[in-house]
Amino acid sequence: MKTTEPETPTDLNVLMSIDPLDLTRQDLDQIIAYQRRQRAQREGGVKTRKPKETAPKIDIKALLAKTAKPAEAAPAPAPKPAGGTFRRRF
Amino acid sequence: MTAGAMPASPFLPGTRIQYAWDSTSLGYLKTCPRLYFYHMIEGWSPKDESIHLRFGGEYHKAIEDYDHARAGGMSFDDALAHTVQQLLIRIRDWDPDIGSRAGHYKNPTNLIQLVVDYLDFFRNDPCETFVLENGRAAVELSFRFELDWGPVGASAQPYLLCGHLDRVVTFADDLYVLDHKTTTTTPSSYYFDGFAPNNQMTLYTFAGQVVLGTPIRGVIIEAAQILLETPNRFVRGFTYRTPDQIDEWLHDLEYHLNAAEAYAEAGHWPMNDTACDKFGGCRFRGICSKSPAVRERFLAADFVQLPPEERWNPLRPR
Repeated sequence: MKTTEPETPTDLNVLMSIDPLDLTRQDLDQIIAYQRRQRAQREGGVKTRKPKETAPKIDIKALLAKTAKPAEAAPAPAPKPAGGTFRRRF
Repeated sequence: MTAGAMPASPFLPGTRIQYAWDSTSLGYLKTCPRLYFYHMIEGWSPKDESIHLRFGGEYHKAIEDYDHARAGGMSFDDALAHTVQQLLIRIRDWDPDIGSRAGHYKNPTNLIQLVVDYLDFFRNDPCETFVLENGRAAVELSFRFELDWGPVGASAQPYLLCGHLDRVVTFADDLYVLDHKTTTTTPSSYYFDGFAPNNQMTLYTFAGQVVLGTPIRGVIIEAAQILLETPNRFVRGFTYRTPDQIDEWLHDLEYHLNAAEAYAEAGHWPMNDTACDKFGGCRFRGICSKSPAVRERFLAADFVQLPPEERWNPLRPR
Protein backbone atom coordinates (compact mmCIF):
# COMPACT_ATOMS: atom_id res chain seq x y z
CA MET A 1 0.00 0.00 0.00
CA LYS A 2 1.66 3.21 -1.16
CA THR A 3 0.23 6.07 0.75
CA THR A 4 3.16 8.44 0.92
CA GLU A 5 5.10 10.42 -1.61
CA PRO A 6 8.15 8.52 -2.82
CA GLU A 7 11.20 9.81 -1.00
CA THR A 8 13.98 8.03 -2.79
CA PRO A 9 14.79 6.67 -6.21
CA THR A 10 14.16 3.22 -4.79
CA ASP A 11 10.57 4.17 -4.01
CA LEU A 12 10.20 5.48 -7.52
CA ASN A 13 11.71 2.26 -8.84
CA VAL A 14 8.97 0.36 -7.08
CA LEU A 15 6.32 2.52 -8.70
CA MET A 16 8.01 2.30 -12.07
CA SER A 17 8.20 -1.46 -11.85
CA ILE A 18 4.41 -1.66 -11.76
CA ASP A 19 2.80 -2.35 -15.12
CA PRO A 20 1.68 1.15 -16.18
CA LEU A 21 -1.74 -0.26 -16.99
CA ASP A 22 -2.11 -1.22 -13.32
CA LEU A 23 -1.05 2.11 -11.88
CA THR A 24 -3.72 3.66 -9.71
CA ARG A 25 -4.45 7.34 -9.63
CA GLN A 26 -2.65 7.43 -6.31
CA ASP A 27 0.42 5.84 -7.87
CA LEU A 28 0.39 8.39 -10.67
CA ASP A 29 0.02 11.26 -8.23
CA GLN A 30 3.03 9.95 -6.33
CA ILE A 31 5.13 9.77 -9.48
CA ILE A 32 4.15 13.34 -10.36
CA ALA A 33 4.87 14.49 -6.83
CA TYR A 34 8.29 12.88 -7.05
CA GLN A 35 9.07 14.74 -10.28
CA ARG A 36 7.99 18.00 -8.67
CA ARG A 37 10.18 17.33 -5.68
CA GLN A 38 13.11 16.67 -8.01
CA ARG A 39 12.45 19.97 -9.74
CA ALA A 40 12.26 21.82 -6.44
CA GLN A 41 15.56 20.29 -5.37
CA ARG A 42 17.16 21.36 -8.62
CA GLU A 43 15.83 24.85 -8.11
CA GLY A 44 17.41 24.76 -4.67
CA GLY A 45 20.73 23.75 -6.12
CA VAL A 46 20.61 20.16 -4.91
CA LYS A 47 22.17 17.68 -7.29
CA THR A 48 19.47 15.23 -8.26
CA ARG A 49 21.38 12.99 -10.64
CA LYS A 50 21.75 9.47 -9.45
CA PRO A 51 24.66 7.20 -10.30
CA LYS A 52 23.81 5.41 -13.49
CA GLU A 53 23.53 2.02 -11.85
CA THR A 54 20.82 3.23 -9.45
CA ALA A 55 18.94 5.52 -11.80
CA PRO A 56 15.25 4.66 -11.99
CA LYS A 57 14.55 2.48 -14.94
CA ILE A 58 11.47 1.64 -16.87
CA ASP A 59 10.63 -2.03 -17.14
CA ILE A 60 12.91 -3.38 -19.83
CA LYS A 61 11.87 -7.02 -19.67
CA ALA A 62 9.56 -6.63 -22.60
CA LEU A 63 12.25 -4.88 -24.58
CA LEU A 64 14.57 -7.84 -24.41
CA ALA A 65 11.93 -10.00 -26.00
CA LYS A 66 10.90 -7.44 -28.57
CA THR A 67 14.15 -5.97 -29.78
CA ALA A 68 14.58 -6.68 -33.44
CA LYS A 69 17.94 -6.50 -35.12
CA PRO A 70 18.11 -3.96 -37.89
CA ALA A 71 18.31 -5.40 -41.34
CA GLU A 72 21.84 -6.01 -42.47
CA ALA A 73 23.16 -3.00 -44.27
CA ALA A 74 23.38 -3.44 -47.98
CA PRO A 75 26.41 -1.96 -49.64
CA ALA A 76 25.64 1.59 -50.57
CA PRO A 77 26.66 2.71 -53.99
CA ALA A 78 28.32 6.07 -53.78
CA PRO A 79 26.67 8.68 -55.92
CA LYS A 80 28.30 8.26 -59.27
CA PRO A 81 28.78 10.88 -61.90
CA ALA A 82 26.00 10.32 -64.36
CA GLY A 83 26.52 9.34 -67.91
CA GLY A 84 24.43 12.27 -69.01
CA THR A 85 24.82 15.88 -68.14
CA PHE A 86 23.03 17.82 -65.45
CA ARG A 87 20.39 19.62 -67.37
CA ARG A 88 19.45 23.10 -66.48
CA ARG A 89 15.69 23.07 -66.41
CA PHE A 90 14.61 26.45 -65.15
CA MET B 1 5.36 5.26 -31.84
CA THR B 2 4.24 2.14 -33.58
CA ALA B 3 5.11 1.56 -37.17
CA GLY B 4 1.61 0.77 -38.40
CA ALA B 5 0.92 0.02 -42.03
CA MET B 6 3.69 0.86 -44.42
CA PRO B 7 2.99 4.18 -46.08
CA ALA B 8 3.29 4.72 -49.81
CA SER B 9 6.71 5.61 -51.13
CA PRO B 10 7.34 9.34 -51.47
CA PHE B 11 9.20 8.61 -54.69
CA LEU B 12 7.75 8.17 -58.15
CA PRO B 13 7.64 4.44 -58.91
CA GLY B 14 10.90 3.09 -60.23
CA THR B 15 12.71 6.39 -59.78
CA ARG B 16 14.50 8.40 -57.13
CA ILE B 17 12.37 11.42 -57.89
CA GLN B 18 10.63 12.45 -54.68
CA TYR B 19 7.14 13.86 -55.13
CA ALA B 20 5.96 14.01 -51.49
CA TRP B 21 7.97 16.45 -49.43
CA ASP B 22 8.00 17.59 -45.84
CA SER B 23 10.12 20.16 -44.06
CA THR B 24 12.69 17.57 -43.01
CA SER B 25 13.43 16.16 -46.45
CA LEU B 26 13.26 19.58 -48.06
CA GLY B 27 15.61 20.89 -45.40
CA TYR B 28 18.13 18.16 -46.23
CA LEU B 29 17.91 19.02 -49.91
CA LYS B 30 18.37 22.72 -49.32
CA THR B 31 21.20 22.22 -46.85
CA CYS B 32 23.20 19.83 -49.01
CA PRO B 33 22.11 17.50 -51.83
CA ARG B 34 24.62 14.91 -50.63
CA LEU B 35 23.08 14.98 -47.14
CA TYR B 36 19.72 14.46 -48.83
CA PHE B 37 21.15 11.57 -50.82
CA TYR B 38 22.60 9.77 -47.83
CA HIS B 39 19.52 10.23 -45.69
CA MET B 40 16.53 10.17 -48.03
CA ILE B 41 17.75 8.13 -50.99
CA GLU B 42 20.06 5.67 -49.28
CA GLY B 43 18.44 5.58 -45.85
CA TRP B 44 21.63 5.97 -43.79
CA SER B 45 20.96 7.02 -40.23
CA PRO B 46 23.30 7.73 -37.30
CA LYS B 47 23.20 4.94 -34.75
CA ASP B 48 21.85 7.20 -32.02
CA GLU B 49 19.24 8.84 -34.25
CA SER B 50 16.52 6.59 -32.89
CA ILE B 51 17.02 8.02 -29.39
CA HIS B 52 16.40 11.56 -30.59
CA LEU B 53 13.40 10.52 -32.64
CA ARG B 54 11.85 8.47 -29.85
CA PHE B 55 12.38 11.14 -27.22
CA GLY B 56 10.99 13.89 -29.42
CA GLY B 57 8.10 11.77 -30.57
CA GLU B 58 7.09 10.78 -27.06
CA TYR B 59 7.39 14.36 -25.81
CA HIS B 60 5.12 15.55 -28.63
CA LYS B 61 2.66 12.74 -28.03
CA ALA B 62 2.47 13.46 -24.31
CA ILE B 63 1.66 17.12 -24.92
CA GLU B 64 -0.89 16.09 -27.52
CA ASP B 65 -2.55 13.71 -25.03
CA TYR B 66 -2.69 16.49 -22.47
CA ASP B 67 -4.11 19.05 -24.92
CA HIS B 68 -6.83 16.67 -26.02
CA ALA B 69 -7.67 15.77 -22.43
CA ARG B 70 -7.97 19.42 -21.46
CA ALA B 71 -9.99 20.25 -24.57
CA GLY B 72 -12.27 17.35 -23.60
CA GLY B 73 -13.01 18.96 -20.26
CA MET B 74 -10.60 17.18 -17.90
CA SER B 75 -9.20 19.11 -14.96
CA PHE B 76 -5.49 19.93 -14.95
CA ASP B 77 -4.68 17.26 -12.37
CA ASP B 78 -6.68 14.57 -14.14
CA ALA B 79 -5.19 15.45 -17.52
CA LEU B 80 -1.68 15.40 -16.08
CA ALA B 81 -2.19 11.98 -14.47
CA HIS B 82 -3.74 10.65 -17.67
CA THR B 83 -0.82 11.99 -19.73
CA VAL B 84 1.80 10.50 -17.43
CA GLN B 85 0.10 7.11 -17.44
CA GLN B 86 -0.19 7.04 -21.24
CA LEU B 87 3.46 8.04 -21.48
CA LEU B 88 4.54 5.28 -19.10
CA ILE B 89 2.54 2.76 -21.11
CA ARG B 90 4.22 3.79 -24.35
CA ILE B 91 7.78 3.88 -23.02
CA ARG B 92 7.74 0.80 -20.82
CA ASP B 93 9.82 -1.03 -23.44
CA TRP B 94 12.22 1.84 -24.11
CA ASP B 95 15.67 1.37 -22.64
CA PRO B 96 18.14 3.60 -24.50
CA ASP B 97 21.84 3.41 -23.75
CA ILE B 98 22.23 6.15 -21.15
CA GLY B 99 25.97 5.86 -21.56
CA SER B 100 25.69 7.42 -25.01
CA ARG B 101 25.65 11.19 -25.37
CA ALA B 102 22.12 11.10 -26.75
CA GLY B 103 20.87 8.71 -24.08
CA HIS B 104 22.51 10.70 -21.31
CA TYR B 105 20.03 13.50 -21.94
CA LYS B 106 17.24 11.70 -23.71
CA ASN B 107 16.03 8.77 -21.65
CA PRO B 108 12.78 7.72 -19.95
CA THR B 109 13.63 9.30 -16.59
CA ASN B 110 14.39 12.69 -18.09
CA LEU B 111 11.40 12.42 -20.41
CA ILE B 112 8.93 11.98 -17.56
CA GLN B 113 10.55 14.85 -15.69
CA LEU B 114 10.41 17.05 -18.79
CA VAL B 115 6.73 16.33 -19.42
CA VAL B 116 5.70 17.03 -15.84
CA ASP B 117 7.82 20.19 -15.79
CA TYR B 118 6.36 21.33 -19.09
CA LEU B 119 2.74 20.83 -18.11
CA ASP B 120 3.27 22.53 -14.75
CA PHE B 121 5.06 25.44 -16.43
CA PHE B 122 2.30 26.02 -18.97
CA ARG B 123 -0.58 25.23 -16.64
CA ASN B 124 -2.01 28.70 -17.23
CA ASP B 125 -1.03 28.99 -20.84
CA PRO B 126 -1.68 32.40 -22.42
CA CYS B 127 -1.90 30.63 -25.78
CA GLU B 128 -5.33 29.19 -26.36
CA THR B 129 -5.71 26.10 -28.53
CA PHE B 130 -7.73 26.84 -31.64
CA VAL B 131 -10.87 24.74 -31.99
CA LEU B 132 -11.65 23.39 -35.44
CA GLU B 133 -15.09 23.53 -37.04
CA ASN B 134 -15.57 19.85 -36.16
CA GLY B 135 -15.12 20.72 -32.50
CA ARG B 136 -11.71 19.08 -32.15
CA ALA B 137 -8.75 20.89 -30.71
CA ALA B 138 -6.22 21.93 -33.35
CA VAL B 139 -3.50 19.69 -32.00
CA GLU B 140 -1.26 17.41 -34.07
CA LEU B 141 -2.84 18.53 -37.31
CA SER B 142 -1.50 16.50 -40.18
CA PHE B 143 -1.49 18.21 -43.54
CA ARG B 144 -1.02 16.95 -47.06
CA PHE B 145 -1.85 19.06 -50.05
CA GLU B 146 -0.99 19.23 -53.73
CA LEU B 147 0.97 21.96 -55.41
CA ASP B 148 -0.16 23.04 -58.84
CA TRP B 149 2.93 21.65 -60.48
CA GLY B 150 4.77 18.35 -60.36
CA PRO B 151 7.93 16.68 -61.55
CA VAL B 152 8.64 17.47 -65.17
CA GLY B 153 8.89 13.77 -65.90
CA ALA B 154 5.50 12.87 -64.40
CA SER B 155 2.78 15.26 -65.43
CA ALA B 156 0.06 13.20 -63.72
CA GLN B 157 1.62 13.45 -60.27
CA PRO B 158 1.70 16.86 -58.62
CA TYR B 159 4.12 17.54 -55.81
CA LEU B 160 2.70 17.08 -52.32
CA LEU B 161 3.62 19.06 -49.24
CA CYS B 162 3.14 17.08 -46.05
CA GLY B 163 3.76 17.43 -42.36
CA HIS B 164 2.31 17.82 -38.92
CA LEU B 165 1.49 21.00 -37.01
CA ASP B 166 1.95 20.50 -33.29
CA ARG B 167 -0.75 22.94 -32.32
CA VAL B 168 -2.56 25.99 -33.63
CA VAL B 169 -3.18 28.67 -31.03
CA THR B 170 -4.70 32.06 -30.58
CA PHE B 171 -2.42 34.58 -28.93
CA ALA B 172 -3.23 38.28 -28.66
CA ASP B 173 -6.03 37.88 -31.22
CA ASP B 174 -3.76 36.35 -33.86
CA LEU B 175 -3.42 32.76 -34.99
CA TYR B 176 -0.07 31.01 -34.79
CA VAL B 177 1.26 27.55 -35.34
CA LEU B 178 3.00 26.41 -32.17
CA ASP B 179 5.97 24.11 -32.65
CA HIS B 180 7.62 22.14 -29.85
CA LYS B 181 11.39 21.81 -29.89
CA THR B 182 13.67 20.02 -27.48
CA THR B 183 17.24 21.16 -27.21
CA THR B 184 20.24 20.69 -24.99
CA THR B 185 21.56 24.15 -25.89
CA THR B 186 20.43 27.45 -24.41
CA PRO B 187 17.39 28.87 -26.25
CA SER B 188 18.76 32.39 -26.47
CA SER B 189 17.87 35.15 -28.93
CA TYR B 190 20.58 33.66 -31.16
CA TYR B 191 18.68 30.37 -31.11
CA PHE B 192 15.40 32.00 -32.08
CA ASP B 193 17.02 34.21 -34.73
CA GLY B 194 17.81 30.99 -36.55
CA PHE B 195 14.14 30.58 -37.44
CA ALA B 196 13.94 33.60 -39.74
CA PRO B 197 14.24 32.81 -42.51
CA ASN B 198 13.65 29.13 -41.95
CA ASN B 199 12.31 26.47 -44.27
CA GLN B 200 10.23 24.62 -41.67
CA MET B 201 8.63 27.69 -40.16
CA THR B 202 7.65 29.18 -43.51
CA LEU B 203 6.17 25.86 -44.62
CA TYR B 204 4.24 25.56 -41.36
CA THR B 205 2.86 29.08 -41.65
CA PHE B 206 1.78 28.35 -45.21
CA ALA B 207 0.36 24.93 -44.28
CA GLY B 208 -1.57 26.40 -41.36
CA GLN B 209 -3.22 28.85 -43.70
CA VAL B 210 -4.10 26.09 -46.16
CA VAL B 211 -5.46 23.75 -43.49
CA LEU B 212 -7.47 26.35 -41.61
CA GLY B 213 -8.32 28.58 -44.56
CA THR B 214 -7.45 31.66 -42.56
CA PRO B 215 -4.36 33.84 -42.14
CA ILE B 216 -1.66 32.62 -39.76
CA ARG B 217 0.71 35.21 -38.40
CA GLY B 218 3.67 32.90 -37.99
CA VAL B 219 5.04 30.26 -35.66
CA ILE B 220 5.61 30.27 -31.93
CA ILE B 221 8.69 28.16 -31.30
CA GLU B 222 8.49 26.58 -27.91
CA ALA B 223 11.92 25.42 -26.86
CA ALA B 224 12.34 22.96 -24.01
CA GLN B 225 15.92 22.89 -22.80
CA ILE B 226 16.78 19.56 -21.22
CA LEU B 227 18.98 20.11 -18.19
CA LEU B 228 20.41 17.60 -15.79
CA GLU B 229 21.40 19.56 -12.70
CA THR B 230 19.08 22.54 -12.87
CA PRO B 231 15.36 22.64 -13.72
CA ASN B 232 14.40 22.17 -17.34
CA ARG B 233 13.80 25.49 -19.09
CA PHE B 234 10.95 26.46 -21.38
CA VAL B 235 11.18 29.50 -23.62
CA ARG B 236 8.92 30.70 -26.40
CA GLY B 237 10.00 32.75 -29.39
CA PHE B 238 8.02 34.18 -32.28
CA THR B 239 8.76 34.14 -35.97
CA TYR B 240 6.47 35.93 -38.41
CA ARG B 241 5.79 35.46 -42.10
CA THR B 242 4.15 37.91 -44.47
CA PRO B 243 2.16 36.73 -47.51
CA ASP B 244 4.96 38.01 -49.74
CA GLN B 245 7.51 35.96 -47.86
CA ILE B 246 5.40 32.87 -48.31
CA ASP B 247 5.00 33.58 -52.03
CA GLU B 248 8.74 33.97 -52.33
CA TRP B 249 9.30 30.67 -50.51
CA LEU B 250 6.90 28.91 -52.86
CA HIS B 251 8.57 30.44 -55.89
CA ASP B 252 11.97 29.29 -54.66
CA LEU B 253 10.50 25.87 -53.93
CA GLU B 254 9.86 25.36 -57.62
CA TYR B 255 13.55 25.78 -58.28
CA HIS B 256 14.59 23.52 -55.43
CA LEU B 257 12.26 20.72 -56.48
CA ASN B 258 13.29 21.12 -60.07
CA ALA B 259 16.89 20.71 -58.97
CA ALA B 260 15.96 17.63 -56.92
CA GLU B 261 14.42 16.05 -59.98
CA ALA B 262 17.47 16.88 -62.03
CA TYR B 263 19.78 15.37 -59.41
CA ALA B 264 17.70 12.20 -59.42
CA GLU B 265 17.74 11.96 -63.19
CA ALA B 266 21.48 12.57 -63.28
CA GLY B 267 22.05 10.09 -60.45
CA HIS B 268 24.27 12.59 -58.69
CA TRP B 269 23.69 14.68 -55.60
CA PRO B 270 26.50 17.24 -55.29
CA MET B 271 28.12 18.07 -51.98
CA ASN B 272 27.60 21.54 -50.53
CA ASP B 273 30.89 21.82 -48.73
CA THR B 274 29.98 25.13 -47.15
CA ALA B 275 27.25 23.55 -45.03
CA CYS B 276 29.33 20.88 -43.29
CA ASP B 277 29.84 22.93 -40.12
CA LYS B 278 26.28 24.17 -39.79
CA PHE B 279 24.02 23.19 -36.93
CA GLY B 280 26.86 21.85 -34.85
CA GLY B 281 28.35 19.90 -37.74
CA CYS B 282 26.68 17.68 -40.30
CA ARG B 283 26.12 14.10 -39.21
CA PHE B 284 27.81 12.94 -42.43
CA ARG B 285 30.82 15.22 -42.11
CA GLY B 286 33.00 12.32 -41.05
CA ILE B 287 31.98 10.47 -44.22
CA CYS B 288 32.33 13.27 -46.74
CA SER B 289 35.72 14.16 -45.30
CA LYS B 290 37.02 10.74 -46.38
CA SER B 291 38.25 9.87 -49.82
CA PRO B 292 35.31 8.74 -52.01
CA ALA B 293 36.76 5.26 -52.36
CA VAL B 294 36.51 4.48 -48.65
CA ARG B 295 33.27 6.25 -47.75
CA GLU B 296 31.11 3.15 -48.01
CA ARG B 297 33.27 1.39 -45.45
CA PHE B 298 32.92 4.25 -43.00
CA LEU B 299 29.20 4.52 -43.63
CA ALA B 300 28.72 0.87 -42.83
CA ALA B 301 30.77 1.21 -39.64
CA ASP B 302 29.25 4.38 -38.25
CA PHE B 303 25.69 4.38 -39.58
CA VAL B 304 22.75 2.07 -39.96
CA GLN B 305 21.13 1.67 -43.35
CA LEU B 306 17.47 1.46 -42.58
CA PRO B 307 15.16 -0.80 -44.58
CA PRO B 308 12.79 1.19 -46.80
CA GLU B 309 9.85 0.83 -44.43
CA GLU B 310 11.81 2.45 -41.58
CA ARG B 311 13.26 5.34 -43.52
CA TRP B 312 12.07 8.89 -43.17
CA ASN B 313 8.88 9.15 -45.17
CA PRO B 314 6.81 12.34 -45.42
CA LEU B 315 3.75 10.19 -46.14
CA ARG B 316 3.95 8.30 -42.86
CA PRO B 317 1.06 9.27 -40.58
CA ARG B 318 1.75 9.95 -36.92
